[in-house]
Amino acid sequence: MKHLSKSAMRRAFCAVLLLSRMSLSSGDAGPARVEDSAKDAIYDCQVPQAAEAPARAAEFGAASWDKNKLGCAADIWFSLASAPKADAVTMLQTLLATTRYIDHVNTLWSYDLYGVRTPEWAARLQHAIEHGKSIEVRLGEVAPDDPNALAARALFKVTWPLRVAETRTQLSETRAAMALLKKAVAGDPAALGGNALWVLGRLYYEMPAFAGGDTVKALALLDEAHRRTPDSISLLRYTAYVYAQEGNAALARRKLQELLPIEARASELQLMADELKNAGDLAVRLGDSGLVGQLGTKRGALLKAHTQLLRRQVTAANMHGGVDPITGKDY
Amino acid sequence: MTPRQEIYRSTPTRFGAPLAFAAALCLTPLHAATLTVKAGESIQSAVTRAQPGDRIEVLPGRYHETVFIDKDRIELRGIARAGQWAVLDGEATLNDGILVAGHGVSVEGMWVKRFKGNGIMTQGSNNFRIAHNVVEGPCFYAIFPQFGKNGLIAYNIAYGSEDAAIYIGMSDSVDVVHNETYASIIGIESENSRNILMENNYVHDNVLGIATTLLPGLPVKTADNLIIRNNFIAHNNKENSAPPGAITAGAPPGLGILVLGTDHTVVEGNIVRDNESGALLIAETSFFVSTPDDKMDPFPDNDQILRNVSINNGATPRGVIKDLLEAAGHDHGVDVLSTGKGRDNCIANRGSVVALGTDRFADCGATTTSVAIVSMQTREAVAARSYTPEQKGRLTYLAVCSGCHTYDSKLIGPPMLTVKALYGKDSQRLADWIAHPVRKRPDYPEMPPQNYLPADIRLAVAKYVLNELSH
Repeated sequence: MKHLSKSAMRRAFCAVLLLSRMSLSSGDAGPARVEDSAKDAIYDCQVPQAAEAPARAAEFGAASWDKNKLGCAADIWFSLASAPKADAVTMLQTLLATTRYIDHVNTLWSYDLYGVRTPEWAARLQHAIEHGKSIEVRLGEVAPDDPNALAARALFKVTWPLRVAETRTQLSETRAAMALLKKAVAGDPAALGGNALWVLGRLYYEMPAFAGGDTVKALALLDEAHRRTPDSISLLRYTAYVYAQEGNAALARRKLQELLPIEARASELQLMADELKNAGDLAVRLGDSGLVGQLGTKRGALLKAHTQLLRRQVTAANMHGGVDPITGKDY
Repeated sequence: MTPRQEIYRSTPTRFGAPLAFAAALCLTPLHAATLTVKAGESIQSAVTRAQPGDRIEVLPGRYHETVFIDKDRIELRGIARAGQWAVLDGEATLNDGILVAGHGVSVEGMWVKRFKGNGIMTQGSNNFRIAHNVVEGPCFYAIFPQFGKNGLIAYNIAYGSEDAAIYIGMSDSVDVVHNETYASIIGIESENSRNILMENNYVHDNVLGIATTLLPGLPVKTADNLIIRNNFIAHNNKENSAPPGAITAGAPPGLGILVLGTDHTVVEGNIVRDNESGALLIAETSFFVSTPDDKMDPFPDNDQILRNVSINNGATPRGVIKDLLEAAGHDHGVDVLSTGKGRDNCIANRGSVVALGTDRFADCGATTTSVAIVSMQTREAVAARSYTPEQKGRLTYLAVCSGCHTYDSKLIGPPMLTVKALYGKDSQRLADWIAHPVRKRPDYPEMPPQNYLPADIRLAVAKYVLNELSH
């Protein structure tokens, strides 16, 4: 298959694993004590002529804060991939766009901590996962050994089950993803713009040891990934988190500081806003007030310049969430 | 002193009777006057008439109202006679039974049942005492202190909760002792709290027995110094009926004890038996809840597993526990299961338990014990905090309104966005409507009157909704 450039891969995929973490909670869907919000899962998506479709999908896909545009971008790609003569690159782009949309919905659901809009999230995921599964199989058939395709399939496998599948499925899909990622990085350590390497490291870190996790391997992979892609904002923030968890606060702070000079690409605005929030939160935990201020200033400027970006707040429901009732501030 | 008080004060705990007794005395308000409420009268009217330090005695009978106590050192005491209790019955129409916002308040001897939200809730109250009550569901939380410091929850029976029967939320220095909880999602939960002792409780027939949790998305970012000790935790095998999407939908069924991301947690001397999935699971928060919150450390650190009696646990694992065990090649449960994250955890007498995922756990040593800690309550009552009207508005919104409303979605009542659009800046009009609501929309249930809230509180919460609430 034709390989996409590294930068194209980065742009296409930059937010796929945004904020999603290994979560093995029950993910059954359905309304209870909540409005049947499933109707909000319906969005208007006009699929343009084939010649215009990639550009339209790219335009919508860049709106990384907009669930409907991201959903439509995935749908447009899916229509292209459904054509009889669809090539592997189209399938790859389709799987990436679909995974990115699923990740976006997963993240929205994660901030809906008390499940107020569960029916909407479940309906959106059902639609996208169905598309993703079919494309993942086809991509495996047409490009069984391509490192980018292998990595894209792996990322889909760790993303789709997060909120809707039982633990056994999450574990089995994660293990399958690790096997695909190992094969991908063996073929090309820079597969999928460097994402394959660092996601493999992440999975090694987050899986329990008795299920294939390995902290030592994880740290080595993350360091190697950072050496290859030093300006990856998600990788930097995640590596800082891992070092904090492992008790190396100094190295964690250093990784966070490396975030400061990085400028967000147009397609990474939401990702940058989110990772700066996470990084600032981690700096709070590390007790580095100077870093908290710097990261906060950078995020504040970004949000001010792009008011459409999501601020990621937990809505108050069932006696939890909202602002701190004592200070009146977000936390 | 009622007979039940005598029982409490003369019943020794295994280790903690002397100081717990002393602490209980500290929390007992000195009452200035006694007001008596008879069947057919209003408890809330007595609260309105009462002065700080007064005792309100509620005689046997059935009462249908929400009681809101925002005065300090009120002692609300149900009087039982010839087996008849003072019963506060929400009849599945009212939201909350007893809401406490004052400090040094005691609620004792009440039978609280059938409230849709909380049975007994304290919000921002210090030096509270909730004892000798029966709290019967269905309800969301049976007993729920939130944002409180220095409290005692003792000798209560709580059951039928859609979440935790006894739920210690973002609080400090609380003893939860000698209670019975059952038929709930979680028997006892300590969430994002510090200095909590859970001892000598009988926790049975829930989905999950006892949980200490550090959850994301809350203003308190730590959960530390917790003791689960000398409890009898049995047969927690109830099917999980939590609403899909609710955070408790992930509560592992058939589990005795869950330690989720909490630090310095001691699990000691418990009898844990007949829980189908297992006795104890120690995991990182992110394993169950994916909401990002890097202000908190999600890993369980410095936890100690000390000499528990585990019998017949893990016979038929279910749900997440079963899936984890299968991933490790096990077809039956274990006594102690850990996902392996966290640092400086230990387990005593490792050879006596069947464990999985504890490779990084050290040996606690033969003599390590928490028995020197007999109570987590403070020796002196903590200062009674005064709240600004803005803080009262936010606290009341969280405790009262958020059970039915969210900002931009329909939960049970309409989204607050539509309320803001309807009332603009006219907070007084909204405050008046809250007291005596009438049904406005056919597609929503009628809101219960909130006239138990004093006028200043209603105005504070109305101002919060119209002027401040944004998500």
